[in-house]
Amino acid sequence: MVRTKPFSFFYLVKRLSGIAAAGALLYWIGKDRFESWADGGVIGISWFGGGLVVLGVTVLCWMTTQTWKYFDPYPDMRITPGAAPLGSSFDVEWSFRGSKGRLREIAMALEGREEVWAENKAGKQAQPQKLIAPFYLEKLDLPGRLDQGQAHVQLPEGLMPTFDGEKARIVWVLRFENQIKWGARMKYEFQLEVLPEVSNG
Amino acid sequence: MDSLQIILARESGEFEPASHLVGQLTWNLSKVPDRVELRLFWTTFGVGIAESKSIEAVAFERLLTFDSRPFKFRLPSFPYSYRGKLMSLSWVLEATAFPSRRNVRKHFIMGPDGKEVVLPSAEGEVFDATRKAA
Repeated sequence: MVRTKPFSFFYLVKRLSGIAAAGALLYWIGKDRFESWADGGVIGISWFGGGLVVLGVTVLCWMTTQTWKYFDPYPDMRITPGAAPLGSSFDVEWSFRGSKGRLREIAMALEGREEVWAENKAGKQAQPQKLIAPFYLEKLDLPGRLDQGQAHVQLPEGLMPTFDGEKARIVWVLRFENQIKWGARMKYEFQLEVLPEVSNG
Repeated sequence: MDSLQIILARESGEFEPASHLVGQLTWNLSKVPDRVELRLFWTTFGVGIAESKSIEAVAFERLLTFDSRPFKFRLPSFPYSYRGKLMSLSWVLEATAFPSRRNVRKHFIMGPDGKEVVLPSAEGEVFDATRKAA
């Protein structure tokens, strides 16, 4: 079972504390400036105070958007068996946690791809860069409900199984995407261990 | 003229995984070599950084300038020879005579039914096949 929730409840509490701290800072500065204006009719603010306001607003916005993600629906995936040969199949079960009512679309595809490390000769210093070339993409039919379901993933024949070299790899993944209300499209990849075909002889 | 040659029993050079690779290593050298090594390995080539892995090696000793030795390797079951868009993998036998380091390579295919796996190209978006909430 693979859980995709990006952070724990403890981390949520930490982020909420950050929001509270940023909010308190803005409140303190705002209250101070308001009292100053009430006394003298001028809202004077120093460069330092202005910087604190900008910092506080930035932290507040960033923390709020990040914390909001905790309440997004996240899929839990169960893929069985752990490894399967080409020509056989995997069974995939998914179920969403969180606010399932915000789910709008889901899609799943089986992808096989080459991943290689190559020298990047464009820059001054040669930096290895990862290149990817898909050689198989099969979109899956997803019957049933959006918030939970299961699918049968048929592996093709006559292709390369998983190969894990140091500089060249053959990777099989299950790509899972979902679109939610009030949120960005979420993309996940679950790596599959695909074994060589079982010979008939 | 010095010569070093790898002759495979199966002339097609196509082998199934876990099968036997049988052949003959012959040479005709101007000086008696100390030893001749035969190495089995796979190597990758293409746009990425090349990589190779040695599987097995044998060394022949007590040699003559003109000589021939049989060899037999058991191939592993994986990786297969493949040809992709970015990289390809090939199986190789390499013979090296010492101390001259004269060498020769023989490429062969190892894959299901003795065939190289050719990877096609695939492009597309996962969200072409979407299911929307009712």
